[in-house]
Amino acid sequence: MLYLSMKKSDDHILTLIASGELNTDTVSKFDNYVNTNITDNDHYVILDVSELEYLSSAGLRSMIILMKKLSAQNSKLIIYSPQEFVLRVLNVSGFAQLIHIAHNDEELQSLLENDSH
Amino acid sequence: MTTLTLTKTESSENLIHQAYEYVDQLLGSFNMRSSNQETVRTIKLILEELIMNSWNHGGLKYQSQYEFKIQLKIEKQEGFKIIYSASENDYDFNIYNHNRPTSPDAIGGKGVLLILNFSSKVDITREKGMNHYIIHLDG
Repeated sequence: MLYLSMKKSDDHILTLIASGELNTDTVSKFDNYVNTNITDNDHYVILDVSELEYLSSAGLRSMIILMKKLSAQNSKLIIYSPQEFVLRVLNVSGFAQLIHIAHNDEELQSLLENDSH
Repeated sequence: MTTLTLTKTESSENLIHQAYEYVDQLLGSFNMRSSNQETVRTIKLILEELIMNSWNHGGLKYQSQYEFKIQLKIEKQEGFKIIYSASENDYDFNIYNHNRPTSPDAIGGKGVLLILNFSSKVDITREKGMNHYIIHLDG
């Protein structure tokens, strides 16, 4: 199962919280949720995966589509607090080199403060 | 061997769902404890990537109807031995471009190399001329 929720803040930051499993079985739910909720006003999308237990290549595909969509509107995707299994998938796929990952609040704040938006 | 069958007119999600249920049921019978969750997730990843590779293989998507069949067997003996066979399985590991993972179509459902690189605990072999994989997993 995949559970999704979100928080919007006044400073153009959208936080998407994904918990459970992001796989072939659940990826269409993720895609629909993302496409419904992200707007041009979201300069940063923080994908909180601290409660995400499982990620497969189908989920990676959706993350890349999301990253490209945000990049086209000059916005940024930040993956927040991946667990060990998810982090391993991000690393071995090479995806960790392409995307911003914040392992904790300090790193997240640093990424937000050092950006030019 | 447990056989899962699907026609191409159904969704690949159905097959993954069936496979997950089978894995959960089987691993339950092995009395897997919660401390083995990493092993359970690794087995699920291996199977999902193999199934999606097989599913996406070749020109299947151009056929309006196709009976897709996979066979699975998981044995627990000094870790796990997973035997996987699919009706379409002639997959080229090199399709997945590990160095340039920027194209969504280069990644989704093409993660065999992902699992090959996933863990030193995973050893995957495909017998030449045979249509199945044997995966050994410490756990």
